[in-house]
Amino acid sequence: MFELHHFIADIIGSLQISDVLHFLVPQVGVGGGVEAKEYVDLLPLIKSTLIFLAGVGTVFGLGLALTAKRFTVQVDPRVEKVLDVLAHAH
Amino acid sequence: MEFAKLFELIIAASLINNFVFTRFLGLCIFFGVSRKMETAVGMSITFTSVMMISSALSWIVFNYIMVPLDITFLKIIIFIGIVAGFVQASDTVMRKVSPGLYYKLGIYLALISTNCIILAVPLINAGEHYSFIESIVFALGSGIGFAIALIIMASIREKLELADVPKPFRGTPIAFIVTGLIALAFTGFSGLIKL
Repeated sequence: MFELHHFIADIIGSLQISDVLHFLVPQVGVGGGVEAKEYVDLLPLIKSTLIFLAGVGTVFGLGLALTAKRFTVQVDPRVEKVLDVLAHAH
Repeated sequence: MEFAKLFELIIAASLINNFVFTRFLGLCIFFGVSRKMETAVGMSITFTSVMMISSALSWIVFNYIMVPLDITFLKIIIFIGIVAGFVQASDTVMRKVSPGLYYKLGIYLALISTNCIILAVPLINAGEHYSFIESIVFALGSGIGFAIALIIMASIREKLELADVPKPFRGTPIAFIVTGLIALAFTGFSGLIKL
């Protein structure tokens, strides 16, 4: 009985995660741009995807924030007050 | 780079595979803006310039980052992001730098960021493995094609305002019928270039 957990630990230790994913996820023709490969290494793919998306998000966010700061247009607050009093379509 | 091939690319993108009349993309802007000639011209100028710059940007990102990393399946998300980010940035800059141009073209910029032709051009560039120059020229050709479509449609619709159209067909329905007829006429271009 006490050898059971040794047994389970041995099984888990001998399996790589990518081997498990190999059985769980279909590996051929994943679709999109990954064109009909025999085998796709999922872990590096997910890693580079996350890094790339985070990088693009950071670059765009910072770029847009800096542009918005650099090119702000000062709007006179009185303009809105006057417009609110005047009749206009919603 | 041979100029004949680039010229063929412009002809193919603007006339033979015209985005509005043969691929039927971007119809929402096409019907929304083609009511008056002035807005049609403004829209086509903005459209062509945004499309050329955004296809150049997305070509660089696609070929230098996404192809080496083998993550080309992300192209739809990334191209949407590039187009929207670029349009938003140019909107902000234009508002400060040239307010006159902003009040003329600014309303179209917000419409453009979610347009399907703008997304289709980088996707086709990526799918056909065009080079940098070819993809810019393809974007220019599709912009010219969209401008042709808008200007044809605006001139017809300005005349239609005065025509005696049966009551149920007035407005948008007759515009759809006219678009179908022009699309039939555009099939005549299909044998223009032999590849």
